[in-house]
Amino acid sequence: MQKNLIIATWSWIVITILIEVAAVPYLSTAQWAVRGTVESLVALSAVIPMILFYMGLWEEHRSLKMFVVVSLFFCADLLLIWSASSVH
Amino acid sequence: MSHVNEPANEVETLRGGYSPTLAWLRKWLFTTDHKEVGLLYFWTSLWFVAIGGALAGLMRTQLAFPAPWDILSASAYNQAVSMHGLIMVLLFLSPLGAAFSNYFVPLQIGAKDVAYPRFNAFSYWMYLMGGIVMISGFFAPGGAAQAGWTNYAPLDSTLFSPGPGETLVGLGLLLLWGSLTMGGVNLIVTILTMRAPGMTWKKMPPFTWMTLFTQLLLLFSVPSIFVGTLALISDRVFGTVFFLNTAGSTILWENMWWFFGHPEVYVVVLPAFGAIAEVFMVFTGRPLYAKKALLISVGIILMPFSFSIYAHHMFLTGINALQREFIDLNTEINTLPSGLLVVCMALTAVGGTIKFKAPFTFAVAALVVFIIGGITGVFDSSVLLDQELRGTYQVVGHFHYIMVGAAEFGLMAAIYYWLPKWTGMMYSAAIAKLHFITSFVFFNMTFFPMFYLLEMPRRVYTYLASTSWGNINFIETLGAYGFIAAQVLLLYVLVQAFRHKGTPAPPNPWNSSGPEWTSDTKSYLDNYPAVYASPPSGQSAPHVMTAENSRPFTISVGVGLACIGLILWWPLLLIGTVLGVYGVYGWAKDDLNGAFTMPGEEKAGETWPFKQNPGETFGQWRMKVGTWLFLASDLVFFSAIAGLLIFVRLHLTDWPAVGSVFNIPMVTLNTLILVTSGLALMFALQDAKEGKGSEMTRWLVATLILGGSFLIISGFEWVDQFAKQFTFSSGMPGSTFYLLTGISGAHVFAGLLMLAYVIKKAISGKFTRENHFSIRLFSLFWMFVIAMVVILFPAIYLM
Repeated sequence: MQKNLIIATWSWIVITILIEVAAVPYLSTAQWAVRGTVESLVALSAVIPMILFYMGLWEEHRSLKMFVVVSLFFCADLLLIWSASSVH
Repeated sequence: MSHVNEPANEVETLRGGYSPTLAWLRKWLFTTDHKEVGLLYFWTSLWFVAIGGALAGLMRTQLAFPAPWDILSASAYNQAVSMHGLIMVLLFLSPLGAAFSNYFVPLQIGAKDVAYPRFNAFSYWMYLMGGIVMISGFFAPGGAAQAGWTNYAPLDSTLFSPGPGETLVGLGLLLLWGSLTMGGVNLIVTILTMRAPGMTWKKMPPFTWMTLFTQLLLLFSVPSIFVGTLALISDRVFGTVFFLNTAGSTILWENMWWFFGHPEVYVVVLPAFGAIAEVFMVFTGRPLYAKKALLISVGIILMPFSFSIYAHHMFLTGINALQREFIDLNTEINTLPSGLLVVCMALTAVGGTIKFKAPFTFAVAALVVFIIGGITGVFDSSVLLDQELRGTYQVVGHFHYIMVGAAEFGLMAAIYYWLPKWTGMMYSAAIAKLHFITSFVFFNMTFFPMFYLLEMPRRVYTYLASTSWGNINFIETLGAYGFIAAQVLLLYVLVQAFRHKGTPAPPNPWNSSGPEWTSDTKSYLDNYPAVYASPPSGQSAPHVMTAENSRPFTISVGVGLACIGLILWWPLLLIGTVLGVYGVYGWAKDDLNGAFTMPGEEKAGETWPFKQNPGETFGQWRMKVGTWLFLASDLVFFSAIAGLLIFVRLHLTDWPAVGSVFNIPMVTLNTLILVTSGLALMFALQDAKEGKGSEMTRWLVATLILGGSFLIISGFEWVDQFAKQFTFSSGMPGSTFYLLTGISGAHVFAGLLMLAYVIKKAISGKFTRENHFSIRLFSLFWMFVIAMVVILFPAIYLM
């Protein structure tokens, strides 16, 4: 089960990096500072679950909590990219 | 079982059983004992002050008379003034404080040694080698660095400093930054985790408190200039253009320099104030007045504010008015704890029975000159006055009152206070008094007249007779000669005491209640035999704490030779590299064979704020705390990299569009490979926890392969960029890309070296289900590096 959590955390980082790359065309019209802020926040969202995992803040029985946190990050990332894509 | 009377032959065994001459040399080259390392710092800092002082004498001689008096050329004067500043601040004052910290902090907190004795010796040797590399510029074509102690851009660039002197200063500084980081982690971990039972935070002596503050300041201020110096070296050696462009490069350097440079003032002053506090308590017979308030004000106001006010050194660089006012206000707030330091010392003396011995007179003198230096400094923090005073001799007078006056007099108080402890000898009170009077008089004669040179620009090598500055300069020069000559008295006192000439000192000549006076420092490798009478549980033999180790010396000499060889003579680079690699290999081998024993497993006293996990040994806990501290410092390092990138982007609108230079799918895949190495490592850790040895090893090897693949692909990426004419010198985008990826790559490379060591341990069967601490420690570093790469990935490729 612990390995499943490891795989889940790894998958989240991979997905987030892919989101960052996929977001580039949508952010192309935004100013550099806006693009930079959004991409940095998305990158941070990749790392934070990793830190939480590493610090043992979720164990096997808390995998639901992990799922909720990661989902929130996912929604926040998409919201950020969507908001920034309309900034010129 | 006491170690106080350890049989001489056992000690000799530790010393290697060499002939007396070789044993003496071996002792000082290979020692890891904190007391001996402290003495090495002490004598080395005095050696550097002799060089820095000689340069000051040359400068003052040149300025004694107006033109046409000319004993130094403009270039020679520039070299003297630049190297004098660098030597005095970074190679003399800071290390002199470190000498006392190394020697006395473990004694004051009841520890056997510092947390990492080998790294302590390594810090010292890297400091010495850094200093030698910097000074070697005097023997290079074109002479030493000439860009001032601040190395302002673009003066430090190849355009204005084409000779190797500036490069050697940069390389020497890199070694010094490494030394300071290691030393900082070491002393902080020592104080956090090695206090004896009963030595609570509240009871900790003021000198140890000030050491803690000093090292915290260093740990978080050095990364900024570390990155700045890497960029400078990158410019000078590889041809990047960080400080040779018009996109704010001067301001970029100033930000990076002063983020370190301003806290450095406190790094120099705080150990002196720690010593002054000790001296005031002992020589007035009173406890330190309002100790708690004083410590809180230094810890809560002075330390954090020192990072926020550094830009008051940059008022004339065009920063906006609101920002200047904010920094001015912060600077003036920061004078409050400084004032409190003086008030607390003064009120400590009120009502006490004062003994006017040499340490006390120097401590009082330090306070007096600190007040003068502090008040004149407040003028400089005013935005308006700074317009007039900046770049004049008023500023020179101000900072010499702080750096030479307060810091040096404070540290002289420390010398006279602790010399009997160091040497077991008393010194002549009459000579000490003469040293004090001459130093105080000639110091003021040298620097006070500078406050009247409000129109004389600093850093000029000559001036016209019509300026009327001649008489004041002549008096200053006489004062400088007198001050330098006065230090011969100190040297005499030191030589006599260290040669054991004169009267033996009683164990506690000042009747101090300081814990350091109760230890038996004559006993090699043991400070408190009475406290640590029993061997660690499970051991029957006397526990030998630390021993000599040649690796810190070997690696440092290798690195120093490589740096000099890189610039001056390539065979030295080769020899240095071989020596360095041999040293690193030997260090790892020592660890694998258990050839070097770390300080014992005694139970610590107060453990707040870092709790020891169940099942974790004391040594493992200490290593973990040290690793976290190092990573915290490394985080500031990466923040400085991010700051550099943001600064460059804000000042440069012409930047390649995303995807126009880099192969995005390729670099994304490469980043994912590195992330996947983290997955493999986590599997290895999980298998280690479950006691699956062979699976664990396989996953560790997978981590190595994936991490190595990342580096190889990054190398191909560099080749690809070069083929597209996107080179180091093609512009700021290229310079930034190569510096950022180079630093990330260096972290990955360092991680792979550590991983190779971990794998070797795994193959040797040294990990068990219960004990696989090295993997946990390594995974901490590796996951940190992955996190940094993941954060830098969009910053480098997608913006």
